[in-house]
Amino acid sequence: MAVDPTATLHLVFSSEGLTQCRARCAAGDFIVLCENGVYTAGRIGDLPVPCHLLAEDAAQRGVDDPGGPVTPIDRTQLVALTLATARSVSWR
Amino acid sequence: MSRAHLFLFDEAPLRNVHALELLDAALVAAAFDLPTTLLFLGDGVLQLLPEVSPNLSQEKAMARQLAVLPEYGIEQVYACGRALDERQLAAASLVLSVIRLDPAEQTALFARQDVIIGS
Repeated sequence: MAVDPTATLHLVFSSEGLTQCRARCAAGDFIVLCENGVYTAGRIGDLPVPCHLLAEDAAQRGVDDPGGPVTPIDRTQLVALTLATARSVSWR
Repeated sequence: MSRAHLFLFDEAPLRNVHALELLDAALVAAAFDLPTTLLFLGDGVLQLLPEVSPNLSQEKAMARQLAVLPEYGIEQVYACGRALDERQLAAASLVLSVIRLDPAEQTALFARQDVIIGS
């Protein structure tokens, strides 16, 4: 994963969180859908930045891999993203 | 090394103690001379309304605690302009003066932070 070291990692935990995040993410950023945020994966629409979902949380909630722009990642990849970005923000 | 800290308030008042705890954390950061900024967005802007009848609720609103921000050296207090407008909150009705930011300006604010903490 090529990552901009000045980028922000957005962790989205809910549908409302996605709305807040969508208006505030910038090119180079990443979005990861976590916990109940994975429910938004199927109707996420166009986003200006790459979007992932935490496979473990999706599996727990019976959310199938939505395909399209949202790609599943595991916890190790999430840790790698947190290390590769300058900061993270949680949208609950 | 002074790492810039941004505290994000996005929950309505009286719902739980998250926002109060977040404010405590912000005051601690400021007391340790860390560059500290607050941003109110979404329903969080309702925290900026005066506490009208505190005794009617067991929960504590944050309005009174917000008054001490300048004493802790927290001068950068921002609010989402869109959230204020959606809730028809005029600047004069808020307990302290805040700087309005649109979402794009908030993105720029994020980019200047080392740490972002939300409730």
